[in-house]
Amino acid sequence: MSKNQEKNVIMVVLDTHRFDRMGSYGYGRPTTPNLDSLAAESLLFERAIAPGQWTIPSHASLFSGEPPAVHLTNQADDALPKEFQTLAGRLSAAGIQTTGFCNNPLVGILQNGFKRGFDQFYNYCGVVPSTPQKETDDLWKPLRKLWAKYTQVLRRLSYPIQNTFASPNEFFLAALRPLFVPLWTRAANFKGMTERSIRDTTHHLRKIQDTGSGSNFVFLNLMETHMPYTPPEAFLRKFAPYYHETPEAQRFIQAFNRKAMQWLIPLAKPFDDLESTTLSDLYDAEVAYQDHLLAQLVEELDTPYHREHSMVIFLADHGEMLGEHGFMGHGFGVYEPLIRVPLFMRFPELSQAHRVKPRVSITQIFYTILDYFGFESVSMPYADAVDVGCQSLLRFKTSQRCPQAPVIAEAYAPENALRIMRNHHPGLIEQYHAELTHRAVYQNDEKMIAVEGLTSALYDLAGDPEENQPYHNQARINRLVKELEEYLDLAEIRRSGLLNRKISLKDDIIQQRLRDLGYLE
Amino acid sequence: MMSALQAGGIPLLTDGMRKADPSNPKGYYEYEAVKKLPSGKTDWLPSARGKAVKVISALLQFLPEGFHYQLIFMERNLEEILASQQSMLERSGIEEAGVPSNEVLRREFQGHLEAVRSWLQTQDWIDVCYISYNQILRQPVRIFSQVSEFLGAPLDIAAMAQIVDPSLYREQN
Repeated sequence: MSKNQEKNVIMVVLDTHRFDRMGSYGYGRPTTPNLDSLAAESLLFERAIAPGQWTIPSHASLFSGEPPAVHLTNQADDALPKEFQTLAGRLSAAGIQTTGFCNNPLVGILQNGFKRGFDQFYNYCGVVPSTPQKETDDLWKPLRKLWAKYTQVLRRLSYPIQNTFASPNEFFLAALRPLFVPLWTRAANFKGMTERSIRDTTHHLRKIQDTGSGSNFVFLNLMETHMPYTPPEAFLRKFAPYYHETPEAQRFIQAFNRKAMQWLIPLAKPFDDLESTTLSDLYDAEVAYQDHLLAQLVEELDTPYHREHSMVIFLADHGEMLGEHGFMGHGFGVYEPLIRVPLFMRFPELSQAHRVKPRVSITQIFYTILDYFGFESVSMPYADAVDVGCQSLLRFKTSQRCPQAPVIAEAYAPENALRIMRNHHPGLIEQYHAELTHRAVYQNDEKMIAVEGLTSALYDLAGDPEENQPYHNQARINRLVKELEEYLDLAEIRRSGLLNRKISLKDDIIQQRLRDLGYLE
Repeated sequence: MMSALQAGGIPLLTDGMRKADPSNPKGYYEYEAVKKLPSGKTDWLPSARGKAVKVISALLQFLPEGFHYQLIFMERNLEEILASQQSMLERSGIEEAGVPSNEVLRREFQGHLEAVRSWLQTQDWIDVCYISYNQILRQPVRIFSQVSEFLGAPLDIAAMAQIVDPSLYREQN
């Protein structure tokens, strides 16, 4: 393949990154100068919505092109059914080299099908990370090979053990005890190795440029903005200058970083002002630190080769709640700080930067990347083929006319978090309707939050962006409920096509009976 | 069949999570992870090698290829199955919403079983031995010998036959 034919896509998932903490999305603090410089010459989506509220459902959507209601990969111990041909799998089958650099254990360590289709996948998290081998002289090569074999065996042994902690079992609960939290957050690299993974990705991009190794898909997941919050001193001083002189703030953060259970469930009592401010400032410090580390990658992407050959996509899989509406972390609810995410992309054909106002779903990234590589339609073994052009976000550049698909976010309750609540705070389950699925449906600036089988509340995002004042308009609720029902009906058809692909069970009746008897979930 | 296989010398893969109850006084012999087959979660399968694990017919289709399965397909008079299911539901206090008639259920299950049988014929990686529950009660030694031959394992047929408890045959038609 000649250099002129080479096409690359570099997709960077900023795990747990709020849209409203970036300058390019209007934030006043200097948290993301490097990302902003790239965003300033990109197609930027002002209203990008994550399909799910946390890593598992959102990555399952990014990799399968299906929403959570179809892929049903919404729990830490779920796996993406093999009927879904993943993005990396489709690209790899087309001869595109696929490489993953991952800092999130839910993506890189769990045996959930997310790594399916990657030709190379490097894990920076877990007890035994797998990182690219250094190119060394002949003297050290045999030793390095031996070491690589040794760590491979260790990984094989450790992965099943680490997988055990994904289920809502006693191991999982024990791991959340404050005594053990430092063990797995530090020794087991819970947040990965941001700096090293960025350096390796940058090196990989340079190698692509130098060797002209055909077309490439490169996936990088960064976890620096995830809890616990332990930003380096310089960033702590810049974004929380009072921290070292305020013992209450230090005590709060030290306790917060140890009480991992608190990261996963809604608040029993709201944060006070100091707690809220400290948490928010430390989050900003983490955002700024990650942006600082991204400088070398952004610089590499600025080379003429990557400007001419590479599409660069930055997005978040979900945001983060920092106490708003009583929610902390990313387990529950569909409020904007959690499901509205940053998304911008730069590609050679983009003649000038543009900001897109219509709401889009990051699930569409699946089709956007396929579109960029020249796929026109994708076949699904369980449903009709999908026209890539209409799902692709590149249509906002080409002005291709397509019917506007509804953008919907879904939050299925994570079983792990529910288990904690049942054991420690049962009252919170009812208070936050935690066992029920929450969904968000939009119509222009209007947003409906529907709690399954219970309530629907309307918000005017233009006048009430913080979603503090639900209002009632039955006609509008009816319209959005209808849209949601149509979406769920369509999802049901696709899901049925998937589950009944081999044997038609006709089986609302049979499935219900077997479920009642306890033989099916 | 599960308890008979155990008595015959085949280790079982069960987790004991579903406890014995009046519907199944000797226990269910189930393995919870089996229920996750539709989601593609099959990392437990290597640990099932050489063991017997209970999988209901509706989940067979989700067993991944790449393994060789020996399937003992338990058959029983459909009316008895439905009566047994009904008793189980009544004992457990579950009230089915909009419960279909027995006739509808019989038709649906009949269609389902035909579909599964026809699907199994096309699966080279699954060897099937169809065993009649009712026959076991009448001729345990002959049927268990058949199972032993199918599995290619010398089972303790006498011990297996001793497990058969006709008092559990409650839904006779």
